[in-house]
Amino acid sequence: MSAAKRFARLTIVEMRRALHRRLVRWMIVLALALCGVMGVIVYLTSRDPSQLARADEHPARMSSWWISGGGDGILTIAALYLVVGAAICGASVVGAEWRAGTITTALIWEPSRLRLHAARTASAGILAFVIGFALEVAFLASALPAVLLNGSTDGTDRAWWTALVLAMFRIALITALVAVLAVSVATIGRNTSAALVTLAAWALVIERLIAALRPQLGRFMISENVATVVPWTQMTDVDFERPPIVALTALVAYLAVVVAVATASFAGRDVVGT
Amino acid sequence: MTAVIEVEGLRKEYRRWRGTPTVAIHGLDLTVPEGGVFGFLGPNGSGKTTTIRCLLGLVAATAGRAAVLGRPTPADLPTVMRQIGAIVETPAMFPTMTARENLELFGAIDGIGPRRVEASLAAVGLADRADEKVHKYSLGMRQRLGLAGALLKDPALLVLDEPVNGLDPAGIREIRELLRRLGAEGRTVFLSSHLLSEVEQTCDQVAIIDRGRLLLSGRVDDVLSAASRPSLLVGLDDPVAGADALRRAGLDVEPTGTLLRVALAPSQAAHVTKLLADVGLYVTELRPDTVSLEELFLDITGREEVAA
Repeated sequence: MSAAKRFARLTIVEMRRALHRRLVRWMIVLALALCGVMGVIVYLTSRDPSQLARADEHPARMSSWWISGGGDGILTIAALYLVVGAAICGASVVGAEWRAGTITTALIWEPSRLRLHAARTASAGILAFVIGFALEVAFLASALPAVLLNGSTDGTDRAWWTALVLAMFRIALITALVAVLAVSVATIGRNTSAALVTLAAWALVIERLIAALRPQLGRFMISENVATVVPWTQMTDVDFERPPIVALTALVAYLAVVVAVATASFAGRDVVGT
Repeated sequence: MTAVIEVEGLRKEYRRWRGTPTVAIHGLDLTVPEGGVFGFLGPNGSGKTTTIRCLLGLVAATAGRAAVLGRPTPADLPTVMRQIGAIVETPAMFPTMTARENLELFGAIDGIGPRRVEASLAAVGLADRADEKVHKYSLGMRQRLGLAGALLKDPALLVLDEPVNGLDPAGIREIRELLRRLGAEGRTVFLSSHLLSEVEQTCDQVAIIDRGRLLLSGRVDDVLSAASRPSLLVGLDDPVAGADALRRAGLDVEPTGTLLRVALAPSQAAHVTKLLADVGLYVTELRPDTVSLEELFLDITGREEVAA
């Protein structure tokens, strides 16, 4: 069997394994349930035309789904859920394997640690991208009844649709990058909670502190770069310049470093205990 | 005979942040020939599981050399792993999947299809419960599933660390017969177990290690006969009178429990019965004084407990 074929098989196996995790399934079910709830709320709040007219942005008006140039389209809400969900699921897929001892079983079937880790990382990225994109579609689709029955599709020309699809693609991409980051951090720490605490502490404490104390360093922060990539426009009201392509390159470079550290750590680690 | 496992001067130290490293394997030499069932014995902490982990590339040896199926490990392990089935300690499977799903999942890595999965499940007696989630399985059933996973590749070498843990007596017997059958088919079963009577009944060859060093290795029969004393155990209603009679005939006699140990080759048993019958004493029991693997194990490891 060729190395590429084996890698492909291993990646599929890793995806099947991840999709079997109860946490991953629950996160997807929860996301779909929230989509349903949002659909009902959007429908109910759009029944009164005067109330709808008063709102600056409302999901019943399709053009509110995505506002090019850095506006707060409702898709941003989905992005937040997806990023958090990707971090939790990515870390849990690896952490649970070390906790349950199935890492030993996995290595008995695939002794090449590099291949196993690469397949695991790839599967996390692919799954997060596909699920993320699908959930974005579900999220927006939940507002569709309100749009068709009470709202409008004004302003949704071809350029808007292109911008929407590209934004969905970027959000799915960020979801995939976060999942890979979580897998890598959990591989280093061999623990779900430790990985999540590390990620949360970095994003919510350390980066915020740095941004507050040294605003000019903000352009190096993960959150700032994500906030630049998703709308694909430079952030306003900040002390630095960061074109979106540079922000995306920086994110990929940071991730490459963390993935390399995780790979080295996994390759050299003794697997003891079940 | 070709060796399927060769270990030379294997050493494993577990380093600590502070303090001296723990030496789990201390220059182990071991050769496991092809075919049959090879028992790997040792007390708790003797280095059995660490040796197995080194062989399977799960831990990196600090020094020494190991080869499996003729290829150096861990470097060439990806090449030969297709021919190795293994379970290490309690086999861990994915608890939210059924037994069948677990095997199909792992089998998919090597392109193993459902027919082979069915055969493996049937071989370990799990066919009827293959569609239950693994988290509902008892320890014994998990062991069986681990064994099914090891058999899935139709391997030339099976490395089994305590495979009968948690099994009931009937299950132990079933697995013993399965392992014997696998060994008789020409496969090599490398079996680590603390159930010495099991090893004695199942294995063709045995190695005993302690503190990470090899103490003894060879065919079970040879090892036991070498350790046995050339003597007979004699049971009598009046052992004191019997001992006197035998001593008068110039034999070396030593009471052991309710029996007398007579320093005479088992082939000379008729001589003993005649001597005793001549003085009106009749034997109630007469057998060669053999050494069990358990006695040998305790003797050479210098441990009182039979443990692994």
